[in-house]
Amino acid sequence: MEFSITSKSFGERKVLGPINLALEKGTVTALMGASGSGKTTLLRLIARLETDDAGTRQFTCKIGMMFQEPQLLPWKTVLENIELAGPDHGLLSSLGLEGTAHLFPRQLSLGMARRVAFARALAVQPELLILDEPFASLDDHSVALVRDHIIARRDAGDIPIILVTHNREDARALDAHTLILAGSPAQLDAGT
Amino acid sequence: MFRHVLTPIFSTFFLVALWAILAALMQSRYLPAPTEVIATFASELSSGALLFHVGITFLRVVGAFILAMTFGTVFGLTLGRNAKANLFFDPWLIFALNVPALVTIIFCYLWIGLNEAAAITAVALNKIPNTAITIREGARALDPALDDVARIFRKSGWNKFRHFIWPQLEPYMAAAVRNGLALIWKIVLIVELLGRSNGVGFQINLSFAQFDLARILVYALSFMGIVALIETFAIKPWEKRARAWRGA
Repeated sequence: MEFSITSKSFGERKVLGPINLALEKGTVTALMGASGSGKTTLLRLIARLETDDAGTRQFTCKIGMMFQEPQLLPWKTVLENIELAGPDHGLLSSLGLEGTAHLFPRQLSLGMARRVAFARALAVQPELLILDEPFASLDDHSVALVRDHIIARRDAGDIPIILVTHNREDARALDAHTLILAGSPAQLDAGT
Repeated sequence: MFRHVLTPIFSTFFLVALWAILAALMQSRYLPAPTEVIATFASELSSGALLFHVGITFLRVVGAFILAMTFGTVFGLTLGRNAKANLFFDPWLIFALNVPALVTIIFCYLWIGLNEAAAITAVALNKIPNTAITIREGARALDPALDDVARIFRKSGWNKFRHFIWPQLEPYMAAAVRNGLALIWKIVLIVELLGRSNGVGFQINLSFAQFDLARILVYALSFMGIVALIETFAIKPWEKRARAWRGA
């Protein structure tokens, strides 16, 4: 999948410069960079939630996205939140969330809510998986569970995965192609 | 638990007792005793007049309520979601809010005629601005982050409304319904008093001309009872269900 933007500005401030990005099936791309460098904006552009300065939206494929905040629907139970995207297919139990199906989001810890958000992103059976800091607020055991899911999806080889992380170890564990977003306006560099 | 049930009952009995004592002390035709009101109630009920007039008023309330809620909700959602529309129509809304109910009623009777359509339109026009403002606030409070979720999961149209928008709007809608009901039935009485030949408002006007205060109280209290029943058995349970996920 080829992704290309000329620039992205908010008002007078140009946040992102020209960016060309190729996302390949069966690979994980890890996007790194300082806070405020535009990583989330780039993910939102890829996810069609924003348009670039030329007014273009990117992919039209089915996207599964885990946002930086869980963004669960508070009036729906955990299971209903997932089923809104697609069938559960054992996702809850595989992410250590047994017994939470009928709880409301307010009854979950942040770590649990983030895992539900991750499950929801997978439930949509995406053609492109976008994860904004998937390991944030998770304990070691949960990080391992989420990481195993990402690796399984990568190894299935049918979808590209792009994620934001601040941790090089996470990127390394996923055998990810690392890209650094830096500069003003930000541009992509290959990571070391 | 018992305290919560018994206290309002005791309070109501206390109010009625106070009324009875005052009526007994004053011995005036301007303050009928509760027993006199009950006797008039029985007489109006057995003659069928009470059910007929209360029924007519109830139908007018329902008609005006449906019109006001439909147009008010559409208008409020449009203004809440579209800044340009809001900028343009906000002065209209402020103007409409401040037009006295009586003026709207008179104009509707003059323009449309002394008929049912004019009566219901006049009531609805009085309520639409209030509903629109309440729903506009609800639409403004919609969480944009959840809009993103809806877009990612390709929910649009009815699906988006049902799963994403309605649950956020529901408390505002409940408030609009409660306030609407309270306002509409009072305006219906004025409409009936001014230009209809039946309904609770007409009966109150007739009783006023005859200085029959007991009958005024019978008709007013009967309709207040109906509104209280709707509030207790329809609006409150709905609100409770709508707020269940908040754990409140």
